Amino acid sequence: MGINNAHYYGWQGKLHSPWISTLSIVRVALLQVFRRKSYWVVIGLGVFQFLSFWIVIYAITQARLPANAQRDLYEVFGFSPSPEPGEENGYIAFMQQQSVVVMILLAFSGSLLVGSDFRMKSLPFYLSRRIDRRHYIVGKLLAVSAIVSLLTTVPALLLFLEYGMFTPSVGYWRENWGIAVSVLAYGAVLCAVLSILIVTLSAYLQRVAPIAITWSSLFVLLIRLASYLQDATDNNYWYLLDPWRDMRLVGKLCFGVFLEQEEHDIAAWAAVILAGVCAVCLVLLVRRVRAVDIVE
Amino acid sequence: MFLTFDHVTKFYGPVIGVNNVSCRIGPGITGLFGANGAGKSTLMKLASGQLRPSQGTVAVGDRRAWSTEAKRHFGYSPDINSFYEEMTGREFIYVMARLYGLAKADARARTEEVLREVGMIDRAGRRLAGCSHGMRQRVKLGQALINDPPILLLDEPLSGIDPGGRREISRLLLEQGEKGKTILISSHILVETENLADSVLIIARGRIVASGTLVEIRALLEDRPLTVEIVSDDARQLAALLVAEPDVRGIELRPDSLLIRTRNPGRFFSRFNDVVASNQVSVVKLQTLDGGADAVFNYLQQGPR
Amino acid sequence: MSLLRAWITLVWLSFRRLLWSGSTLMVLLPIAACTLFILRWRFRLEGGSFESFNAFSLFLMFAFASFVVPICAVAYGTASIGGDREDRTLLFLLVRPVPRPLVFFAKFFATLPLALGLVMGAFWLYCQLAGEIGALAYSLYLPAIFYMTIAYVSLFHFFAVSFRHSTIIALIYALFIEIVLGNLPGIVKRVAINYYGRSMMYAAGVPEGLERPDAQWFEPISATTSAAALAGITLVALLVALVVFQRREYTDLT
Repeated sequence: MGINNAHYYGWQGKLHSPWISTLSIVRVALLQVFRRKSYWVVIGLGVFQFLSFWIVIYAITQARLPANAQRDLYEVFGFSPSPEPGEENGYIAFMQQQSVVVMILLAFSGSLLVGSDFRMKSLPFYLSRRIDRRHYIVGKLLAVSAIVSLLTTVPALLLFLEYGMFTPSVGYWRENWGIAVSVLAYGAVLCAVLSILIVTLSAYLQRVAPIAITWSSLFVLLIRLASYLQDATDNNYWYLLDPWRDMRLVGKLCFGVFLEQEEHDIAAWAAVILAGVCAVCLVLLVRRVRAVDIVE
Repeated sequence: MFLTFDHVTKFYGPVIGVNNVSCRIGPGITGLFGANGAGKSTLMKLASGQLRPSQGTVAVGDRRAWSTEAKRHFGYSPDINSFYEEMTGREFIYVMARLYGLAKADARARTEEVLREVGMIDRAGRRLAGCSHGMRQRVKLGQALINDPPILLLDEPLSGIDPGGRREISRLLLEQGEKGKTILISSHILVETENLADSVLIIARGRIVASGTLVEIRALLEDRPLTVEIVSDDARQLAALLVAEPDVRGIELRPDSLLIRTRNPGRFFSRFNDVVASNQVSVVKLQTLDGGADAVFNYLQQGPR
Repeated sequence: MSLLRAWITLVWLSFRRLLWSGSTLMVLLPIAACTLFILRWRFRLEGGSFESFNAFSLFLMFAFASFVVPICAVAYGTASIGGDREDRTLLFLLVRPVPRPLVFFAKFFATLPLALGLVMGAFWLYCQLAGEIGALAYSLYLPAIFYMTIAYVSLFHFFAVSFRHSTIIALIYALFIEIVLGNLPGIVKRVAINYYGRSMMYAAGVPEGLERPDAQWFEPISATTSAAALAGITLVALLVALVVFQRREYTDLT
C-alpha cells in the first residue's frame, strides 16, 4: 500500500522555528524546579538573603542612619552601593553570596533537569520532534541560566533599582550605570559557566549523588585547597583552582574593578581556564546527547 | 495453599485503597481485573507483604502475608520495569535464587530450569539493560518461579509480550495451575487472560464487585442492558414485531442484520422465542454483541444504572 | 543455614554493586584532588616543625574530616538502601524470605568496609605522603576519623530508610548544616558529628603542638566524651533506622 493510501498528511498549521521550542524546554525546566517543595528550602535562603539586602538598603537610604551606623551595616553585608576605586562592588558581593544558593540548587536539580532525561531514556521524546541536539542543548543551558539569573542577576538589578529609587534624584542611576552593566556581565559569566558545567556533568553522571559529589568537590573542596596552597606558597596563581574566584575575576575583568594588582594579573588566566573548561564540556556534551543509547 | 483476604481495608492517608475486601483464592488461576486505580496493585501489594492492611488480615496459607515466613510460599512478579540493569538475566535470577538460601549448585541448576521454563535460556546471557520489554517480563516471571512457590502473584505478566510469547507464557501458567498452584494474575485487559483464568475477581473503587467464573458472572447479570444482533430473512417483519415488546429499548435495521437493544436480556430472550415461533419468522443467526468479558467488566465498573 | 547463605549473598550483592557504582568513581575525585594537594604541599610539611604539624592537622580537620569523610559516607551510606529505593529494586529484596532487620544489616555491613576502607585508605595515604608529621597525625587522629566515619554511615542509613530523597538531605546535612552548625558559637554545634570529631582531634593534637582553637568560637570537649557521643549517635541512628525499616511500607517502590 502506498503511503498516500494510508491517509497520512503533513501538519497543516504554521510551524515556528525549532529555536522557539527551546523556550518550551526552559519553561518546563523552571516549572520542574519551582514546583518541588524541597527546593524551596534552598530558594528560600536566597530570598531571605535578598530581603536582608533590601532592608539594609532601605534602612540606609530612608532611615537616615548616622554615618558610622551606615558604615557598620556596609561592613556586615559587604555592601557598597557606589564603590570608590579600591572598594568592593556591593552588588557583586551580593551575587557572590547568592552563588552559594545557586550552587546548592544546581547540585540537586541537575539530575532532575538533565540527568533524568538520560536515565529514564526520555531523550527521544525531545529529539524525535523537529528539534535536534543543538536545540536541546541550548534549551537546557538556557533553563539553567534562567535559574541562575533569577537568583543572582535579577535580584542584584532589583537592589540597584531600589537604591536609586530611594535616593532623592536619578543621579545615582546615571552616575553608576556601570554597576548595572557589570552586574549583567558577571551574571552572564555565572550563567554561561554554571550552565555548561552542570548540564555536562548531569548528562554524564545522571544521578543526584555523583552529580552533587562532583559539584561540591569543584565548588567546596577546591576553594579550600586553593586557599591552603596559596597560603603555603604565597603564589596567587593557586587561586585559579577556585572556580568561584575565576568567575568573579572574569566578571571584574570586563569592567576593570580590581581591588588588588594581583587579582588583575591572574584575571586573564581565569578567563582562559573558564573558556577552556567550557569548551571541553561543550564538546563532551554534544557527543553525549544522542537519541539512541547504545547499551551493548 | 490458599490466599485469604479477610475484611481487608487499606488506607493511604485519607485515601482508601481497598475497602473491606474478603475473599479466599485457592488452587488454579484467578484473574484480578479492574481499571487503573481500582485497587488491583494495592491488593497485590497486600498479598505480597509489601503493605500491611489498615484493617483485617491477609494470609498466605495460615501465615500473615507481611511475615517473613509467608514469603517462602509465594513468588511475586511486580508491574515495575526495574532491575539490576548491569546484570544479565541469568545473574539476576541466580541472585534471587541465592536469596532464598539455595546453595550455589542448587541455585545454578534451578536458574537454568526456570530460564528454560520462561523461554529465556538462549537469551539469558544478555545484560538486562539491553533486553526488550518482553524479555524483561520473562525474567520477572522467572524470578517469581525460582523457589517453586505454591502461590504465584503476577502483576500484569502478559503486558508487552508478543502474541507468540503470550501463548508460551499462557501455556506455562496453565501448567503451573494444573500442578495445583494458586495463581493470581492482575490485569486491566480482560480478554488478555479471559481464556486463562478459571475464575475472576472484578475490583472497582477498592471493592470486589464480582467474583466467580466469567460465565457465572454473566448469568448474574441477566437484567443488564445488552445489544443483540439478529440475522433474518424477514428482518423488517421481525423489527415490526419486536418494537412492541416492553423490554426492547431500540432497534436498528442494517442492510444484512437487525440490532436490538434490550434493557432485560432474560425476559427479552424468553419473549423472543415466543414471537419467532408464533409468527413463523426465520432466524439465521443470533448473537450478543457486548456479552464479552470487557462488556461485563465495563458494566460492573460503572454499576447498574 | 539457608538464612545465613541468603544474608551473605545480600551483603556480597550490595557490596559489589556499591563498589562498581558511579559513586566510587566520584568519591575518588576529591580523594585524588587532596592527594595532589598533599604532593604539592609536602615541601611545607617536611622538617616536622610544630607549624607544619598544625597546618597538616588543620587540613585534616577542615578539608578531609569535614568534606571527604562525609562525602564517602553519603556516597555509600545513602546509596546502599537509597539507591535501591530510587531504582525501585528494593522491592526484589523485600519480597524474599529474609527478615527486614537482616536486609538492613546486610546493607550496612556491605557499606561499612567500603566507606571505612576508602576513608582510612585515603587518610593513611595522606599521612604517608606528609612524612614524619603524617605518621604522628595518623596515630593521633585515627580513632577520630574511624568514629566519625561510622557515625556518618549510620546516620545516612537512617536518612536512606526514612526519606525518599535521602541523598539530597544527606548532602545538605553534611556539607551545609554541619558546616554552619559546627562553626556557630555556643552549644548548638553539639548536634554536628563534625564537632565531636574535631573535638577528638583537638584533644589528641593539642598536647603535640596543635594550636588550641579560639574558645569563643570552638570549645572542644574531651576525647572520651566525644568518642562516647559519636558511638551513641552511631547506635541510636542504627537502632532508629532499624525500627523504621522494619515497620515502614515503601509505597514508592511500585
